[in-house]
Amino acid sequence: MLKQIFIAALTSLTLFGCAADGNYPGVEYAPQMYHTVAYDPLSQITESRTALLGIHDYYSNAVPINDYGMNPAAKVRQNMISPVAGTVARQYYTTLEMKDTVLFYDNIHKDSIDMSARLLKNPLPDNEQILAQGKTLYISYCSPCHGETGAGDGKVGEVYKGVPNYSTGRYATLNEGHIFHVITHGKNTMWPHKSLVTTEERWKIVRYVQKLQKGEN
Amino acid sequence: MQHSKNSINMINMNFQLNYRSVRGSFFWTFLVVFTLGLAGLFSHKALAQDAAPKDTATAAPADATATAAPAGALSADAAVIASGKEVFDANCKQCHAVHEKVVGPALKDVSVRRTVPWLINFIKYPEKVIKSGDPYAVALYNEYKQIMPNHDFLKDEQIVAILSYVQDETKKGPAVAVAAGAGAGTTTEESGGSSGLLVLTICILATLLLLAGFALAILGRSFSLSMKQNRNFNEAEKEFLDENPFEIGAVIKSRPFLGVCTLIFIALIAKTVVEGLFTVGIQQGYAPDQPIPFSHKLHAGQYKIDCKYCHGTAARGKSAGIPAANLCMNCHNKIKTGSPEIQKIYAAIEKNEPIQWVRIHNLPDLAYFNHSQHVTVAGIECQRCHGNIEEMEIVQQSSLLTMGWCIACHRETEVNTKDNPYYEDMVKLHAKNAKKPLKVEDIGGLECAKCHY
Repeated sequence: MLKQIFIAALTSLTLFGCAADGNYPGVEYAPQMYHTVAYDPLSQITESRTALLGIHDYYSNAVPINDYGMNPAAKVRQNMISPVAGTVARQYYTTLEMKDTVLFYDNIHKDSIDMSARLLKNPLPDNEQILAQGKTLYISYCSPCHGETGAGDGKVGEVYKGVPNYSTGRYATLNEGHIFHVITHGKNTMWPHKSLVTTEERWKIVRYVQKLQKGEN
Repeated sequence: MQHSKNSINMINMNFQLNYRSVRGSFFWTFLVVFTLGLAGLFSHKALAQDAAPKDTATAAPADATATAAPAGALSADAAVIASGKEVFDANCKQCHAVHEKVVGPALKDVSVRRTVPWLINFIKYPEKVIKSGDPYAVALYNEYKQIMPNHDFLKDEQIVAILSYVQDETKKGPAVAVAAGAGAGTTTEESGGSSGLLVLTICILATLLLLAGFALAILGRSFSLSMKQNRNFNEAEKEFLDENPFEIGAVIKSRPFLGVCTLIFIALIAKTVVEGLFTVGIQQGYAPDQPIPFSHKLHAGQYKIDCKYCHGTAARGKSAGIPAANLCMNCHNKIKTGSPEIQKIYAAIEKNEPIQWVRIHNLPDLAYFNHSQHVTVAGIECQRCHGNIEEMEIVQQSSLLTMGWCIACHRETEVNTKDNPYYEDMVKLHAKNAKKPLKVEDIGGLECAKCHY
């Protein structure tokens, strides 16, 4: 009787080590069922045979024992690898107006800002829906620096310095081509945001910025 | 007689007391009114002092600009400085700051370095001044390698106002930066303190209970002894009294005691086993160290950077994505460039190797989850599943991420059908047959194959 109770107590004590905490992800019931075998872009898990009873796997940067679901071509333990040199991204758009234009807008040289201001026209229709989408995108991607009303009073902008007010001086007169080019390639202190927002999203943001230029918000 | 005298005395005293208190109240009222009056007087005076320069202020600008512009003198007047700040914020701020270099030079003491007419001319037509061969302008061009656009739309008095504002800011000195994340770590200490207090309370209670037990035992013993001395009992009664119910050895050996102890022990073991089993396969609380100790509390909390600025793919695709190092550079090309942690970003970019952030939320591969469906279509806040990220110094998994947790939310959440033509017919059909609002479970949110295939 006492012996059995002792064994039960010991077993229960080992279960204390199952919960995740800090760097330890915890014990898993069926790791090989949980972990991806296909090359999942963000997968970092490798099987561990040396760990206690083999009931949990390495999640972070431990030395791999046996990789599954890990791309052997990757330089580091991460499945995402750089595309082959010269790869052209497929155009990504959700409105028909953007069809076959994405490559053109994305390949204007960064120094051709005057040409952009002269030639580029917003291909998206001028309606409330586009404006609302533009506002959502603006709040996510621009407002940290430019402020919610475009006054250049974002929390990050205060530290970063050099953020203009859209609705005053020369900035109120800048046209859509210019704004698009600045979002794409950056200007002065602003860095390019081409990789953050798609071409279509940039044109939506332009719509909303033009509204802020008029001092409406 | 004496009685009445006493009563008179009493009345007298009463009167005196009353009189005193009345006099006292008069005194206090007077004091209060006096102080209030004084305060009023002073505040009036203060107001008057406030008002006085205002009068001159309203009169001053026309005067100042009229005389200052041609003479090239700067104004120290509040109204001129305020108007200067306005023009500065609108036209200059994006390239210039007073105390530091931004795109162009720091403007501190600019009107001391150059004369006002020179500055007016330069601000209006920088290119012309540089081409005219002015040595100072040429030196500026050689240092910064770019020409400021013409500002010929500014009036002379506006430029003087800007310069007055700059001079005022120069006098004020650079603003002291607010210490970032000063209050970090206090909350955890507090919670630790409260649990410590609980343990202490339990200890005190247990000690009290033990002491009470001992006291009861001593009392019982002395009671039975005194009973034995004072009275004559028969054998059976004597035996009963002799038996010490509080003898510890006997208590421990007794069957009921052992039974209760074993029961408590087994119950405790059972509880640990069950709780332990429920933590298997659950990573709630997993908070790994990251290669760079990035603080979400600072970025998302203090600086209010939207989640989607860095995790933009949450709105477009299956995974929320880990930002690439080039995204960090949008701010850290300028901010905290000297920090050894920020240097790691530069090193990663130079070596063209990703920063190996450790993934925290590891949903089992047997379950499909798509961020964009939840973020873009349903419009759910990130915090609903990820907890108060903006308060986390080190991010940890705050939700269970079990199937029961998913299902519970799908049962009670209404479908966000607003402005979504995809759901139009479904909403109409649902309204025809059901009175309850359209929940996620109604559109197949509990179907096995939605997530497991």
